[in-house]
Amino acid sequence: MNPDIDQRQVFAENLKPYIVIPAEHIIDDPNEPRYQTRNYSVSGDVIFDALRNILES
Amino acid sequence: MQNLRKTHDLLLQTYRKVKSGKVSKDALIAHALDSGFIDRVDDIFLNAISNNSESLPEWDWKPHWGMIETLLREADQTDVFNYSPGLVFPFADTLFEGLHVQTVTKILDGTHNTPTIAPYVRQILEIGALSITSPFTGDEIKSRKGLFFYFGGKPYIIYVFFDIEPILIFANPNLGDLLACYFPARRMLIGKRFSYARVIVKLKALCVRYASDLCRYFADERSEPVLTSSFMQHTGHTLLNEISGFDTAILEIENFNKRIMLLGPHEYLDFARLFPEFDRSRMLKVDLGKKSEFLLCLENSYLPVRPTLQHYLIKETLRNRLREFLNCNSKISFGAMTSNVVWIEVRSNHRVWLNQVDAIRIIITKLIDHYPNVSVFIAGWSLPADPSEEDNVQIRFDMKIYKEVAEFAAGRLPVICGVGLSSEEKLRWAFRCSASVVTFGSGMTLPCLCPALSQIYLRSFTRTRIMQDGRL
Repeated sequence: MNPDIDQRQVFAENLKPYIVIPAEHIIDDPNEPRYQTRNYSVSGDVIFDALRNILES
Repeated sequence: MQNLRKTHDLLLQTYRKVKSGKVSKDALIAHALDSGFIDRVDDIFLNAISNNSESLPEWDWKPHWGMIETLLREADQTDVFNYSPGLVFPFADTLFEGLHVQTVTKILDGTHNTPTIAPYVRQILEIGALSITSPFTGDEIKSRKGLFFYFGGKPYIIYVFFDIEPILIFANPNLGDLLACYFPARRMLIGKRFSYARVIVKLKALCVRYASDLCRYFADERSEPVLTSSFMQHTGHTLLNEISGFDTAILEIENFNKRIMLLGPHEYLDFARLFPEFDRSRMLKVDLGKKSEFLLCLENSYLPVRPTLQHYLIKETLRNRLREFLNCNSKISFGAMTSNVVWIEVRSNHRVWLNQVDAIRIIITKLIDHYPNVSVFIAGWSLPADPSEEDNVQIRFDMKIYKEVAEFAAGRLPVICGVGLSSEEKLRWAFRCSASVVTFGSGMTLPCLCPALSQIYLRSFTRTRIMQDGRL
């Protein structure tokens, strides 16, 4: 959980905790220049681990 | 040029040949430039925006709309006649030919990231005018005139001040802050963003088309602030800025709900039901096919204003309003539901999750192993009331992803189709979900509404950089 994230980034008051998948798990699209890419990959295992934290909290 | 009408009619003949493929567009532009027509059109724009009606064409000047727009756009791109505005960064303390740039910077310093209505919006609604400090004289100047047009799926409002020379101030169609200042006599733009050349060309075309109507509007002492809504072709920004803005303004501004409201083509949620405080008879649905929103405001002496929240935030008051709108059960939680729903957003354009099908298959396999009562809601492109070809294409792309996922999970885990649903239907699902997996951006907006929801955000390196700049 990342409680320090700026409120602007979550859009809503009184949300439950949220999880940002850390950058090291996000792989930007290698077919696009570094500063232009908007596409990315992230594995299902990493997301499921985060989801589990939520479902069991 | 001696005869504007004759040149216009000759150009129109060429324009029609261009449309039928008989003549190249280059020939049309060359003719328009060589004949001095473009220069004359520029003069008409400047006279109209300066309320100098005596210098307008003597007959009822209503040039062919499509041709004027094409000519101005193409002339803007030529090297010989560069009609792009000059650009000045607003951060320097500069005196630029009698114009104090820093004064403009202060006018544009409108975003404070506070969850309140923009101060200039409040001022217009409370006193019926917008006042600024003149960047020429330092005196206070007021505007009771604003131009409103829908362009590229966004609402643009431009406030017009008559000072030593005309000053146009642009409201940001997203957050609503005052974003840029254009000086038509100098073709100079001072702004926080410089992608406005295209918008200025559009404005110029409108002002030339409706030059005499514009001068009548400026000369009319009457001025009525009117609210604009649903001209933003983007559910996220409509909800985060516009609907949030209305929800806040109702609480903060006296008699807000007594105003006339112009409703555009993108009414994602039924405004009359969402804001029952408003008198329905004061809500005017603008039929763009019959009369442009630009002309409508001129003819009725409207001063358009778009109440926006200068913040990407859905307040508790709005969540309650939306819940009431949907008549949802607010007590839904993971433990209380017989089937818990996880919202997973898929994307086929912009910020694409490249391995989404494989990754969702892994998530589903593990959910089946650990949480057999869970359902998955695959959220994709929404279906607007009046879908464009792009909407249909994106829905087809996202539907393919949904089908691949649903086929994989068939008979083992329910997969709900959230592709091609209306915003209201998706909103209903958002209130029912227990967790969500979304790419950072406006896709987060709907699932953010459910207070019982926890989210997982996916964001790439680049998105992180953009987010740090405060942009979506």
